Amino acid sequence: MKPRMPYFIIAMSLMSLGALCLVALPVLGMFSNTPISELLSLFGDGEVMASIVLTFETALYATLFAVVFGTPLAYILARYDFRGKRLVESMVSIPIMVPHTAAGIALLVVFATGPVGSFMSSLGLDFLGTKAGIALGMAFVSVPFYIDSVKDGFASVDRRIEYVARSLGASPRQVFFQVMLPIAMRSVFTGSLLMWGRGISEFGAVVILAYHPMIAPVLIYERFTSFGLKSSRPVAVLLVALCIIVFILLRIISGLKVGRAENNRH
Amino acid sequence: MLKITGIKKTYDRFSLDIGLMEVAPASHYVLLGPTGSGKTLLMNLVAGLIRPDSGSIEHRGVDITGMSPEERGFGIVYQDSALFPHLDVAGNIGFGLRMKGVRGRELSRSVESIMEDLGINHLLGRRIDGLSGGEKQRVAIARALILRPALIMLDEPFSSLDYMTRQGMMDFIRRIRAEYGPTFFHITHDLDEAMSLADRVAVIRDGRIVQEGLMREIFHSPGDVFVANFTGMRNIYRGRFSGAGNDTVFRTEPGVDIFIGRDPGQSEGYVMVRADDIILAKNPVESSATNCLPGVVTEILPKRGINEVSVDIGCPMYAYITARSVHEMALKKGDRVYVVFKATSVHML
Repeated sequence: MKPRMPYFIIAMSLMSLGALCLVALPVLGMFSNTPISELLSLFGDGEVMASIVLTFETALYATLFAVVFGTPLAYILARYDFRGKRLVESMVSIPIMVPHTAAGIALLVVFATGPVGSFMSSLGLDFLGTKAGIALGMAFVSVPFYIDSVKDGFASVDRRIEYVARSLGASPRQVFFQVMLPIAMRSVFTGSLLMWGRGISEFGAVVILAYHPMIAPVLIYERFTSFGLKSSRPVAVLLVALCIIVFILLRIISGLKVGRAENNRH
Repeated sequence: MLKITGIKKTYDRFSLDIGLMEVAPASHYVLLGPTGSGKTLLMNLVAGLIRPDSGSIEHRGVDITGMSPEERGFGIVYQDSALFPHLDVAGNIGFGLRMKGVRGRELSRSVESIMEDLGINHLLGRRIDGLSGGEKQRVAIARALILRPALIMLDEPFSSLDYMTRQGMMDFIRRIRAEYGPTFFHITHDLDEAMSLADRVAVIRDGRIVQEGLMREIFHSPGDVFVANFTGMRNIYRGRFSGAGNDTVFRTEPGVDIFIGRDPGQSEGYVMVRADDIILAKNPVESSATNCLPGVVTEILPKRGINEVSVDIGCPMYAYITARSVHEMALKKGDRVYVVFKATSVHML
């Protein structure tokens, strides 16, 4: 008997191409329409290079903020039940739903002009037109991605592993740092990568808080509105190319390192 | 001595209520019960992972009810080992010592020493994901044992292992008990495990201990129908008693008369006969103290080392017969046989 044609798989594959094309075509089109000489010339453009470095740097600050403050929240949400937990989970997801320009306005009102802003300013931390403001905008819109990823990582750890660690003399703090965090490290890394990538791409919230100094997405917008597509496209291509390279490198590093995290500690 | 007194804990809609439970030092105590009976909840209470609503837990005369798990220092071994996946074998075994501040050569020496004692030194340096189920359990036991806990709790420790590995693990536990002398508090639903390892057994149902005693007492004299069923009793009948003293007879609800030969102290209830107390005969057996009931073989099911023969005597009755007996009697489905058992083999509930 002849094997039946896997029509279902063929149909699913064809439909999958739709989603794949949606992502791949614009990127490929952008690359194919940009001569390499234009790209290379950007390395001599101080404004472009400064904006790219600033983008990567501030996205890193935003990610570090999430690692320090988002990880405990992710752990609590993964491990404890408490009154108002659903509310907290909903609050964490708010930045995903809020238009980012509106998020920028909200951040501006609270951190740049309101009493919180005054208090932070008295501590020497200003958010209007500063790196801190850029990082704040990036952190606000991308922190849900980090928290969700890390929460899933913690939740997937068998509770009995924690119980055994406690029975072996580990305090709750030791359980967190010596057991839970190392086991969930892949999720922490993935979440950080997601957050960092999302931070790099942020425009709406940042443009309200800190048009200057210009991060790469703002510079692309600036050049597009002032000089047109021909001027903005190479910057966009360079940013995308650098992001892809860094992402691939980080994925390779995470595959090599996190997979065997702490394996020889004893 | 571990002493649990008046422990109550309500969890969602389930409530655990343990009146008194005493586990002697260096004994192997088995808490036997079906899934959802409250075994793991009780174990977590003893370990200090959950606080009871009321009651107390004492260990060696000290009230430990309010102590944290790390203060109690009881070892735990779970069904699926619950090894730390980010650590290798040595890292897992040495974890407890590391939490106590032991480092470097001293830590390595202790880990290697216990691995050698337990015959698992060939696993040194191995990754957790490369271990077999039995190896994982040995590592989990070594991890608990390295701190020399007075009490080790085993939570369904062999459930996910194959038959041969289970037998090996039970030998392993016996050896540890002989060499290290910890008290084992072992929860399981497996009767074989309980019979092989337990000094004393408590049967738990719906959060209550329904019977506690030596394994043979529970196996041969179950206190109620639940315990009888749970300990593998196949022949349990409801009915009425008639006659008195030596002439007492029990009539099952389908109308089969079983000779009891002693005063039941009740007019109706349950009787039961262990399947391995029954023999089958092709011809009637004459004895005043023996039941000899005619029936027809309805099924012969080979089981591990034995055959379960079902006989219709007006109601189903099961007998465990050796394969050799089945062969010698040329027993087959539809044969007319006599089910023979002594009146003293009939237990009243």
